[in-house]
Amino acid sequence: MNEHDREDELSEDEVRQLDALLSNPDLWDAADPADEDAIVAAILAEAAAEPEVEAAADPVPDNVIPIARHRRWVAPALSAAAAVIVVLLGLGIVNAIADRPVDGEVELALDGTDLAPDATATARIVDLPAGSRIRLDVEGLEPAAPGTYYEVWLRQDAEIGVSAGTFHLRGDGDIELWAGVSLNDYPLVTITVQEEAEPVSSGRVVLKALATGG
Amino acid sequence: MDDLVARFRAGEEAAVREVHQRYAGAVRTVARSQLSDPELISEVVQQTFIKAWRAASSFEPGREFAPWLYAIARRTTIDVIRREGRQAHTTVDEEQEAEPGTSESFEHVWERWEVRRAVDELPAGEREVVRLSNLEGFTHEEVAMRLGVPIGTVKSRSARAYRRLASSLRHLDLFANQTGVAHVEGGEAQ
Repeated sequence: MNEHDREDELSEDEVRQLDALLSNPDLWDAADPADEDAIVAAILAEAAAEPEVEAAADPVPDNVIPIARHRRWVAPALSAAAAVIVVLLGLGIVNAIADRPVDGEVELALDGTDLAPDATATARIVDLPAGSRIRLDVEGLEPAAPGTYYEVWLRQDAEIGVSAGTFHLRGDGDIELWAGVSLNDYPLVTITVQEEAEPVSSGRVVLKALATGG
Repeated sequence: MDDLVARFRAGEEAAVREVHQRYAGAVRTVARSQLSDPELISEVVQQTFIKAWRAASSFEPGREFAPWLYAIARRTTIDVIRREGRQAHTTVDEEQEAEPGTSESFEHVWERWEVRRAVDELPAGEREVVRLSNLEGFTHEEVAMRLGVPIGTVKSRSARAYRRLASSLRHLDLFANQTGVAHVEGGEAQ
């Protein structure tokens, strides 16, 4: 135990707890300057080989798909799909429509970031009385590794966001999530890869898109 | 911080060094919590910053950088452990096994990360007083002699350091119970 006259305003318990934490040698393990030089050398070499990396600094890159643009092709596409389904129903091939389009549903295309460049996803989002329902169709995204999962966020900006739920893709099946906020108020949709028990968004975005209004 | 991250992302050498200097200690704390081999610890540190740079283009501006980097450090540590094909510390001796900072689960690593960051952010004079007192076990009088400063200076630096640390770490709820970190890591995202 160290001398106590430094602890004005701190309780004995607080001082004791700090003393215990601060006596851990790991806390005082100095960084290795050789590590820093190696890191700088590796990054500078890689940066020189890929000067275009800076282009990715735009927080709203070209993978953003405006809702309005999608609506133009979504409507005819849905009409065509509906026509096909009617024919299939008539032929008895299909006896149910699991995902009938809902009024007000918007479709948003999410594109992969550098962390998942081959990934794409379509999010169909609709405001319902219980909240915003999000149905995801994801392609090209690896199943989450053990100990990790994917988390969907609706955001106003990089700082303010609401989690819409999590998934891992380790098997087939539809992904349906719910958010307690509206896409109208939280138009940025991101999907992050998370470590289990991670307290906040990891910031490691694998897919994203911005709804720019209809 | 956003400016620093942007310059880091651009591969600006000064920014890379600054990010390393700010966070290397905390990253080492994560690695040392699971690994004892100095070479593997160095590998984790290097790979963590290189991976962070590679992934920085997907880092959302305005987000907290530290938890993001912590996640990368933790994942990198796990990857090294798995690659080595063994559990951490299978070769450490009994003394190392007994150390509180080694061979532990990740449950308390976030706590250690935060404590290390708080210590690293102390002014150098205050940090040295705390280090000599807590790690070396010197009294304030001994610290004053070693540093060549009046004992009153040592006491005031120590008091300020403890207040700063208590303030910096209060979010961990360390002072409410002994398992504060579990509370933090189990909290709801956002």
